[in-house]
Amino acid sequence: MSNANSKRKNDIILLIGFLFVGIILVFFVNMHSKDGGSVDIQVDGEVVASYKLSDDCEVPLNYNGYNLLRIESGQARIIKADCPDKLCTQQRRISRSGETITCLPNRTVIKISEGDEREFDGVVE
Amino acid sequence: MNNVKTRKIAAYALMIALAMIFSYVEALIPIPFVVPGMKLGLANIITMVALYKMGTLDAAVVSLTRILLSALLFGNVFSLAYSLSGGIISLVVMVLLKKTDKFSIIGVSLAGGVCHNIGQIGVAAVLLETAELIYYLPVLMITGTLTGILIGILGGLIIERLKSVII
Repeated sequence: MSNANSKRKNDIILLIGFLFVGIILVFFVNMHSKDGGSVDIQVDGEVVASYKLSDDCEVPLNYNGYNLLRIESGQARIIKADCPDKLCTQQRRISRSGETITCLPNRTVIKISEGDEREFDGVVE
Repeated sequence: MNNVKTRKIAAYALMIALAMIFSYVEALIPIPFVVPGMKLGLANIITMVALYKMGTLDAAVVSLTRILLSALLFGNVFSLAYSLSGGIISLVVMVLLKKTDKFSIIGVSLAGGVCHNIGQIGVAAVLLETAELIYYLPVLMITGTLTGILIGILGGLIIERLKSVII
């Protein structure tokens, strides 16, 4: 049936279209990011703390639930969390600006920004 | 007519319950999904079946009720916001594509999968005020297409076997 065939063709065009957009986005993202300087901790959209990537440390984040942030060799990741899915602990280490690790259940996002000079290493509320 | 209405209500109940079980079973599968929002979306098989065997409104009722109940029972307000946004956007896109009659169920489903992810990430970025979440989009679009194709194939198989059943 030519009708089914033309539908199949349109499916493939749609598929290639989406993949194409996806690949363009990958390039777009890569061109935008540079090596980051610090990692901001955001809870519910508000930056509550900031740490330099150059200082290795392990910081418990107790703003909303519990996440354990580790900064090591200029990369940040979450190694422990109390959320039910623990997706945040499985995400890759981040180090470039714009990269994020998200804990949706705890509404927490750790985000790399190109910090140069910061007057404070951390903000406690 | 009472007969048709009753049958529809029964069908809705059956499908919503099935869809909830599908998402529960899916949550039990220990596949490491690295990016938040990545999932198989098995419950959408039911949405596709409702869309193709019943109709647009029926699919909307089944899908949205399932999302609401799942979030109320197993999630929180935020998970409801993410699921609902993804569900509504993917439903609108799928209905539109289906109406053009230019795509097969697999095409419709793959578009649905991608748009579901776009909707979810969009709302998450707004709620968490983190525009950088957009960086997850490329990966989610690719996984969205793959899972969409899978759901489309499975949905098609089920619809084929339901050919003699009138819902």
